[in-house]
Amino acid sequence: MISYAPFLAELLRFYLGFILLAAAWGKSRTYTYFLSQLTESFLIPPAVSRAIAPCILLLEWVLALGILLLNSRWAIAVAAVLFTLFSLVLLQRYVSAGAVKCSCFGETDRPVTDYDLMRNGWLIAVFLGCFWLNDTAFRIATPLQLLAAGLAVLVALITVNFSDIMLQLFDTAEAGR
Amino acid sequence: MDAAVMYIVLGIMLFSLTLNLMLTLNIMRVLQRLPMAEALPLTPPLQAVIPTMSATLLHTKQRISFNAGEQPAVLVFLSSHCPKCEEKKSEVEALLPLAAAAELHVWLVSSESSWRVKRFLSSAALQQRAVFTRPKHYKALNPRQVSPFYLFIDHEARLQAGGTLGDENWQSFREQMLAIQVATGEQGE
Repeated sequence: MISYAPFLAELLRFYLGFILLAAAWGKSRTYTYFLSQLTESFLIPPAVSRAIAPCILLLEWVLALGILLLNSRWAIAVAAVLFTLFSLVLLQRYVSAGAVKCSCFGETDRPVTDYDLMRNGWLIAVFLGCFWLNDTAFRIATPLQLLAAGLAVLVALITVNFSDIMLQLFDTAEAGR
Repeated sequence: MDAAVMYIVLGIMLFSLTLNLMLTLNIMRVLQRLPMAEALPLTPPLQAVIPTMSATLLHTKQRISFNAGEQPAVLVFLSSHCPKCEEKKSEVEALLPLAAAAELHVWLVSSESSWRVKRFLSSAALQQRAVFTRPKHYKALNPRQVSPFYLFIDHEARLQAGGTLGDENWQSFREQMLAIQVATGEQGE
């Protein structure tokens, strides 16, 4: 096994964990909006939305903490499957309806963009990468682990705000010209 | 150097970088909330000649220019992202044959991707009038990028009016078109 693999595996684990944590935190922060968008953008009846919204939230919190604290491979597997399914639903809604609002990470009054879908595709790839590195029982020193966590926070922050950053970099820059 | 020193240095740098990114994103959000879009004019200056800008027809990929012909033109800006545009589609479609009879071009201007426009415009009659411009030109015509939006361009390529679809000018244009229809209908009898 390549020498940096354990570090990379830890980095990816923290990365996915923090992404899920951001999603859970963002949705909790804008709970009523998230609830309304389940009905408006994803066409789920209000009564069903009220029932499944707390389940989604709870599941996200449990998965995030499971990945971060317990290093549970199961949590990563469940998160990967659910995330892929959700991304496919989002893609379908985006293609058919155009203006879909997601509140995926607690963002309000902003429709889903191409960049959001690109981000989701990238995250699915990271999930796969995480499985690929998975086999080794990794054990790295605590300081290195902390470093991996720190890097993961930084990259997760960029990922969560990917759409805003890209719009700022390209679309707004173009408007100024 | 001791490994511990490296970790401390890297840790502090990571922390500051993260903090910096969070602050930058925060400033970005604050700036977006400021009413800067309002500062832009709603339409290009009235009576000004619309500069030559090429556009591509959706179905034939043919290149056209909004101000090339001797015919006046109506530019309609609909977007698949706006729920209101969905309702306006039928209104615009009903005007197409009338405008054609009045020797008036109607162009549905978009800068979105072609498959999205095709899907959004659903009807063949509307698709035939769909043209694409580059985002730069789109913004020149529709500075605030609002939709539904329209511009009236006369035979000399001067901008006569513009605004949101359904405002006074648009209503009077619609009535004129309908009046022409009534008049030609009477003639036919």
